[in-house]
Amino acid sequence: MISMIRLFLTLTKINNRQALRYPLQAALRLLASIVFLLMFALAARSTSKADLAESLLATLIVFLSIVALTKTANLLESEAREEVFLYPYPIWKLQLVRAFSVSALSTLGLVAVYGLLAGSWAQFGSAFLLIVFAYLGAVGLGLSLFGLHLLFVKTDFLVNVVLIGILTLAFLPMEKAPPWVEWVPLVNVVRVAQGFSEGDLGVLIANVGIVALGILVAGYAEREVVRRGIAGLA
Amino acid sequence: MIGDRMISVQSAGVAYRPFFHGGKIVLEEVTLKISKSEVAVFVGPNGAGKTTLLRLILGLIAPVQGEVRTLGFDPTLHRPAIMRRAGVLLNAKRHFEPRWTPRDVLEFGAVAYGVKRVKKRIEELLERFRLLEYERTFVAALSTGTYQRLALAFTLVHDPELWVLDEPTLGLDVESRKLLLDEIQAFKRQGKAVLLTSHDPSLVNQSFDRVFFIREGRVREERGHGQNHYVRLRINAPREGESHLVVRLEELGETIGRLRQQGFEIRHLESVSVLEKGHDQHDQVVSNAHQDQ
Repeated sequence: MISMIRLFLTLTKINNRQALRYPLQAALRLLASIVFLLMFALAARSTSKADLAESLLATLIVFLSIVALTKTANLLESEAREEVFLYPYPIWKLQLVRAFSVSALSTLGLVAVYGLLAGSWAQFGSAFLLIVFAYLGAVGLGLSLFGLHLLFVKTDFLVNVVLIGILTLAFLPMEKAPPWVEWVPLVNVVRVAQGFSEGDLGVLIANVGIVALGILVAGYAEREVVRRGIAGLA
Repeated sequence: MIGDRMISVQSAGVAYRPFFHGGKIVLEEVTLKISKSEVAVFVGPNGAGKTTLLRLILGLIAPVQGEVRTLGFDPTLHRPAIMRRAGVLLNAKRHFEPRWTPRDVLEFGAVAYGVKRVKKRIEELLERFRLLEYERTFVAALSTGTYQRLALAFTLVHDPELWVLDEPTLGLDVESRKLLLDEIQAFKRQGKAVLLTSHDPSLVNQSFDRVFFIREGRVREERGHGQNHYVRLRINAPREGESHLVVRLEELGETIGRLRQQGFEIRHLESVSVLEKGHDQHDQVVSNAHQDQ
């Protein structure tokens, strides 16, 4: 665990060192993200009864979740496919650390911006908890997709389908959503954020279960590709 | 590990069994042993199974038959433990983030492989692999040779006991090649083992203790340095086109140098054989080649 934290800190430092080489671009990227989130939240508000703060939180959750999911699913470039097997860790651990480190600073930045708009500590606290649940759900889904990518190589389309599904369900007018939507990871968190659901703790904790499922799928995929002799082959 | 043995492969077979496609046997009945302080070379034509054998030894592919032990571990079950103690370059390269610098790459490697004194190790490797002047350059801007030196330095970042190099000389200039050979010898002197595949005849000639000839998924011969064995090279003669040349392994580097000076194009070791009565044949073929000139 300590070695993974050390690796996370090192990767975050290196990634951000690169970002800070071009400070104007880093600042503009953060600004663009904030503007995009606000505009999306305004658009989302017009399709539901949520107020701006709720819509903004829902949008932020979806945005961060998509980042977390895609970075975790991170379809390996062909030249690096074999190399993930050359580290002294199970692959899912390395993939998690890489995903967290790539999105760490932008996540903190956006959450801090939301904190400034939130108005109260209590509101920020509950929002932060929702973000954590959503993030875990996204990482879990991302790990499952990563496992499928290890097994079947060409899975870009599947990742796109999952992303489109999440976006569609998250921003459907929620009054019309069918009851099973409550159990869809990420989407259930967005529903809570928009005030359409009470936030049953059991439902939210399902997002943690998705992480466990993701670890199982990625671990199985790692063993299976070695058994079949196709580890790292494009 | 059993005594000095670092790698032991016993009657191992390997097959690719992808989803939705038929299986294919790529290695059969492979048996070999490699001990401490040995430099072992796998040579053979393209597709013979050299890289697959490395993948088997490293646990990237499970045997369908036989038994493999690497550094005392079953590689299929304990790949991470092996990686902690082995430095690996597969397919002649490592992929690094293009916007990282060599210093970033080595820092990441050092932490990923659990090195304690990271800064000291990075400085040491930057100097040893002549990377100091490029330490702030983006990896994407490095020349092929410098990139390759960085890749080699990366594989040694955690001071491994076993160095596994797949075609390590690709892209290296003469000086870098010498650096690699020196590193291999230093590695050997420390009682560690080096395992490499190569098409590069001069590398095979200069640095091996043991040679494993691999062809069509089988290890054909195994001989130690200094014994009489011969390799067959494919060459392109200026007028006659493609032909073969049989050369004693110990004289390979010198012969190749001489032939190149005379305008012959030397192909890789496309075909290798060990001849019991090859000495006369060797002289004859070389002298024929000279007459062709």
